[in-house]
Amino acid sequence: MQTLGEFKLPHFFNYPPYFTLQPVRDTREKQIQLWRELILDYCRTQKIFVVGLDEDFPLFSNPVIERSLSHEAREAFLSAVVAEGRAEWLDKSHRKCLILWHRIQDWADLIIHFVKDNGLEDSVMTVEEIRSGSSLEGQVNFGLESCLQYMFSIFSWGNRASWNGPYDSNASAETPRTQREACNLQRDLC
Amino acid sequence: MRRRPGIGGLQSAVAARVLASLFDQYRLLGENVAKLRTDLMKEQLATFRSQLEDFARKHKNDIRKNPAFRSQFHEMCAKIGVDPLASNKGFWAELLGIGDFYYELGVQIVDICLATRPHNGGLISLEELCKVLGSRRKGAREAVSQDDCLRAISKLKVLGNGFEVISLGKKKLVRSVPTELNKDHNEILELAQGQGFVTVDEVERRLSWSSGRATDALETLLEEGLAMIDDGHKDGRRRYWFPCVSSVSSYTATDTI
Repeated sequence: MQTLGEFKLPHFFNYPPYFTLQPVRDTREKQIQLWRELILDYCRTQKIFVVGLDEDFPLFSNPVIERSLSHEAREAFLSAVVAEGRAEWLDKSHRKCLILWHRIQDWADLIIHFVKDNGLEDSVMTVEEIRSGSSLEGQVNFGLESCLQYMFSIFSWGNRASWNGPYDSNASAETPRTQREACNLQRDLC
Repeated sequence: MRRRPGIGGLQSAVAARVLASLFDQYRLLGENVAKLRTDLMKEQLATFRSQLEDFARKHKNDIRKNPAFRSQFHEMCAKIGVDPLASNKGFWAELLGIGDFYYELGVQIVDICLATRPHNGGLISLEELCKVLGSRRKGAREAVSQDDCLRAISKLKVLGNGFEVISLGKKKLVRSVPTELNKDHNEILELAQGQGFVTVDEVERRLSWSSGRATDALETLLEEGLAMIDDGHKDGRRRYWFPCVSSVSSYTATDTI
């Protein structure tokens, strides 16, 4: 079985036609379902938050069989994840997709627990501090700030927390994060 | 009738000898039929049947555990007009409990065909079916052969499940959908067995068809869910892949056209 690092790839990944968007409806539905599950699984195990459609996301091509997904196919499969409620487009032109391998509510719960467990109510934290102190430590967190930005922008925290800082959907892993964004965690967060 | 080879390697040598002698007796029976000695024939048939029943009783385990032996036994039963699978009650079913085995197999086969239908369009190679069946039954005592699968499927047919076995060259495919395949479709499938896919050019060239005929047949197979398109090869030619002629676990990158 082929692997990407330690991730075991499913058999269909080695079957060339699955890299072409199928015209027949029933066949396409099956194809979309398989890709949707693969994308979620892979992002969950690799802790990947954002997938850029024009970037070298490892699942988009299989050099062993010399096949790559077309832009149309990439958009179709990611749209399916969005439709299922497990992802969101970060921009109108559908170039970047935020994968919610935890549901938004689960992320919120994780942060709330983190705050409670560490007595951090009524404090100001940077994204870096949240990341290094929580269960996400040590993982490749490309796009974590996008995830948090998104959460804080859409999730109704009320006055329990607020986000200070630029909303920058072009942030990349290389941009220094500390002191660039910060979030304000109020006393009544719990 | 010649002595059957291959029984020699059985666990129970005694069973093998007895079965061989039964085949001999059957041959004698045939000779009597030829001589129109009906009275003698009837007597021998009765003796023969009771010996077969004795045999089944004593060698139940061999029949259960060994697929090759089981197949020979079935053949013998068929010759004398005994069907151990005819009903779940009665002498044979109770003695061998074999009805349950094939019933269970039938249920598993239907299950596998349904589960793989979105991928292969309702057509699966017998080889692939047996492989999947084998891995599902890893804990079971009884091994399953392709012959067992075919028997279970023939029982399914009687129930009107729409199951059918079609031959494609040397291989067999199990069809679990009502899709009728015509001769053109069969020829394409047979051609596809080589590399798992065909192109329009290849079909036209190898089968000497007109362009329209090839495209029509391929498009029908595509619509029926039996084929998938692949536009990703660097030569830019569209390939039609047929999941039913490939084994899921052996997709390779070999592509010489």
